[in-house]
Amino acid sequence: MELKLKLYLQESIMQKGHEANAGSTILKGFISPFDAAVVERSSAASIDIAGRVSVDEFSVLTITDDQPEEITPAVERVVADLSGEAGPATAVLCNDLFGKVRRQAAAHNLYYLQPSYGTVSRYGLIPSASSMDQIGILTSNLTDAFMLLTKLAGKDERDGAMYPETAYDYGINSDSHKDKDGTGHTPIRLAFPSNVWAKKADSSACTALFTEQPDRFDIVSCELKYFELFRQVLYILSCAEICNNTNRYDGIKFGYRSPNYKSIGDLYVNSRSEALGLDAKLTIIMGAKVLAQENYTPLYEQAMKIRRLIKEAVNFSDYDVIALPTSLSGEPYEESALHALTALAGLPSITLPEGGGIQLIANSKREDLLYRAWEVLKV
Amino acid sequence: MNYEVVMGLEVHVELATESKLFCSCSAKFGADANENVCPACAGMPGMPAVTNKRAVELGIAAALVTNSKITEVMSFDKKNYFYPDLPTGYQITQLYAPICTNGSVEIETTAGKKIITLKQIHIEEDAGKLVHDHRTGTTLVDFNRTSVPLTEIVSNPDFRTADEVVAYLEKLRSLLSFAGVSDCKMQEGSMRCDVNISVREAGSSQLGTRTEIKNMNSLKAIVRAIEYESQRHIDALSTGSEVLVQETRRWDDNKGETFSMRGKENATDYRYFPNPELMPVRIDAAWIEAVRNELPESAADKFARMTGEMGLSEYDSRIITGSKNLSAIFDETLRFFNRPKDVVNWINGELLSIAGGDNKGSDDINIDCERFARLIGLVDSNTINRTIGKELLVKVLKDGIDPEAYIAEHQLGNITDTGFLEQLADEALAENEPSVKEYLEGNQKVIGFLVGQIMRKAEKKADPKAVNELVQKKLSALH
Amino acid sequence: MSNITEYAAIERLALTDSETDLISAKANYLEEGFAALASVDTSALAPLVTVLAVESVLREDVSTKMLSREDLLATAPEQYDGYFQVPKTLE
Repeated sequence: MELKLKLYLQESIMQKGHEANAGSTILKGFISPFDAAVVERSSAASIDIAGRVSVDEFSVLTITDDQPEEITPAVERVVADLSGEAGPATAVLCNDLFGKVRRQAAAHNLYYLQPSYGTVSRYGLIPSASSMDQIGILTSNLTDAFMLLTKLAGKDERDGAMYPETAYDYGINSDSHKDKDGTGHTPIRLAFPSNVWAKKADSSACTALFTEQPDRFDIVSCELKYFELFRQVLYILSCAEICNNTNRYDGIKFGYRSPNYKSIGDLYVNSRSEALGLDAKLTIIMGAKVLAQENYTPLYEQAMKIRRLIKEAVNFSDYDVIALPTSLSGEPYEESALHALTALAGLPSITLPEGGGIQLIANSKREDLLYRAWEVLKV
Repeated sequence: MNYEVVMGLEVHVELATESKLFCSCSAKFGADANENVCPACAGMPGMPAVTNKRAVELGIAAALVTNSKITEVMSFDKKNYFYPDLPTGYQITQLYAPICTNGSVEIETTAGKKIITLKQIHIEEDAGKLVHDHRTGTTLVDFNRTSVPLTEIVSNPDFRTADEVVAYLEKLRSLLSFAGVSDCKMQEGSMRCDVNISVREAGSSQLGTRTEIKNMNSLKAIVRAIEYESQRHIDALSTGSEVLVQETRRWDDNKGETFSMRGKENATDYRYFPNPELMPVRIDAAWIEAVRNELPESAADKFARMTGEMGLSEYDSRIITGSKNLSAIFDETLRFFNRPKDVVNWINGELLSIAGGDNKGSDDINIDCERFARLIGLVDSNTINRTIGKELLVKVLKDGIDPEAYIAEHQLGNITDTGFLEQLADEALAENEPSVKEYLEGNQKVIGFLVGQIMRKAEKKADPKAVNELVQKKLSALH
Repeated sequence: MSNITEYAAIERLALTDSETDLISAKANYLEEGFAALASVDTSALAPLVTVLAVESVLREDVSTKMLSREDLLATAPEQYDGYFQVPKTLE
């Protein structure tokens, strides 16, 4: 069954012979010497790359500009294609570290599929935060996105941070509506963390999606422990990793080199200062700060430990899927808390515009549950 | 006032792997600049690091030969700093869980035996090389060496003299080269040593201000640097001529002095953190046993075997076991000609002096051992004589000739036609009647002269022993 | 405690005065939330470095040549005689 898609790449995904700038001037002129694994695998599935879309510089959190948030190019691309001529669905491969693409997808009637960390190769992804980076799929057709994911996911020897499974099928081709002994539907246990949903003015549209189908979904209540610390832990860990991953951009080997320098010291400082944007600079400086000897234990190490608590607190034995809103109408740093769980715990999720925007999060490598939920919801 | 010099060593040793530590570029020494470089080790984004299994195995081997305690689950960390030879802006190293700790190395100096204790050994990647180009006044960067695997061997401050340091480095070199961990060639940079040195009043248990000396490229330079720096410390303490500062200093072998290195090494916060891309490595008992079973024979064991069951002299055995390369030549040649005494004589007596004539040492000899073995056999069987054999050894070493083919082509074999030899002998005796007369008068010494005459006629292609017997037979017949 | 300018220098960044002010303000804003981390008792915990419960991902020791030197240096800002070129670096 051949999959037809109009597939775009964010500028942080490398394509041989093309410039890959990850949204930064410092990578201007950097021509990728090789294709990303996701590009190789798309090509093997006869899906060509239709083009590239720009991205926030190294996918950092953009908070230095207090202006209202603009539409992100990935979302803009899909919306534009939808209003154009009919044809295959559009999809954009993204690294949505802080949830901006997901938040805007829900607001623009689009979908997002975030795979489990460690199932899609990062070979050819210009890294931001290596322990959280995850190539996900923004799309107008979530079923197609799952199909595409079966082609992209699987162990790549060139990325050491992956599960060993060589392929994933998410139960797509099996009769996913029946449980093992074929006696009928097993309801998906859906948890609505009360401490998060309480912040949303009106969550009735979201819950209605599921209460309308009582034989398919069991709604349970839970607490999302440490939610009030999610955004800090996410920020501290990611700014340090982004800082480290961008220290290689120095004007020496490739990319931007300042025309203004006499000494090697100038070359470093001027190249980086002239070419990096303000949000990137903020992230990098905060990264240096949290890793500094005087701060490492109370900030970085503490954040790593709380990350362990966060991951262990999501108890997928009491529920199968967690439902969270996609937006609480805060500003970007606040909003990043909603999308932090997938980054911090490496969990898969789907983001839907239905009900005013909802994301369903499953346990690692349980995209099959998300697919099953989608199968029910889409009809 | 009596002063005591206290030293600790950090020795970096390049692991003998085919590929680099975190990418698949060749790790071999000697390529043209930037020929062994890929996007990863040039600092380009998008290629995650993946750990070289052999590097871990060689690390385990290093741990075993230093009696170290192997860490059950080891991991890698990132050390951040900016320098042109560091293309990613960080070095992947081990801070929190190095491969092993608490080892020891026994050394022997003229003062006796001593145990040097090790703090730890860790695995890390090497940096690139900077070349200062005088013509353009710029610095040129070569990333061939970037990400080549290193083990850093950190000792405790157990050293008290330069002799101990030299003995330790030679012992480390022997242990590691025989274990196949590294070729440990200081002149090629596969073994480098930094010395941490401080001085205190004899009898004190407090350590003095410590300085680190870098950039010593030979054992001699290390000794000179230690002597200079310890004296500088002593002068500072005894006369107050300068205030000692904890710092890194660079040894300048031409000037014979150390100089303070401002900037790079001093007061840098490396902002270490665990590397999330590299999964921890579990080193279990089964893996350790597998590496232990594969460990090549140590120099000490080989020495015992050579002097024991092979019956070789300590002198000869010490020469062979002084070099991994020479030991390998010895072992390999023995495979084809299993007479240890002959092989060791040919190596220590002939091969080393030929190589020495070309300024090559034990570590640099490269010879086809099978052909070498056959050559030894040809001399042993009197097919060619020893003098010709020595000449051919030069050709086997330098040109890799096939001994049998060469002998046939140039007709160098000993004369086998006994009739012809007798004829030459008769000629020689006829041509040298005065000598024959001397023999008949009782002078035995002329035998040697007559043998020489026959050998010359035979163009040396005869066994001198056989010719000697022939001459004696003919002369006796004249009585 | 170092200030923003010092951390920037560690990262080889030179900020204008207005950048320094803006970044300082945002840093303060972010750090207000960091204080809450201290309230969590993590004394018995090991840090989480990766979410994957995977160990010993190792590569066979085989060397390959991925790029020619020519391709490698093709995007170099300055190159000389097969090397990347930078201003004279002091030891």
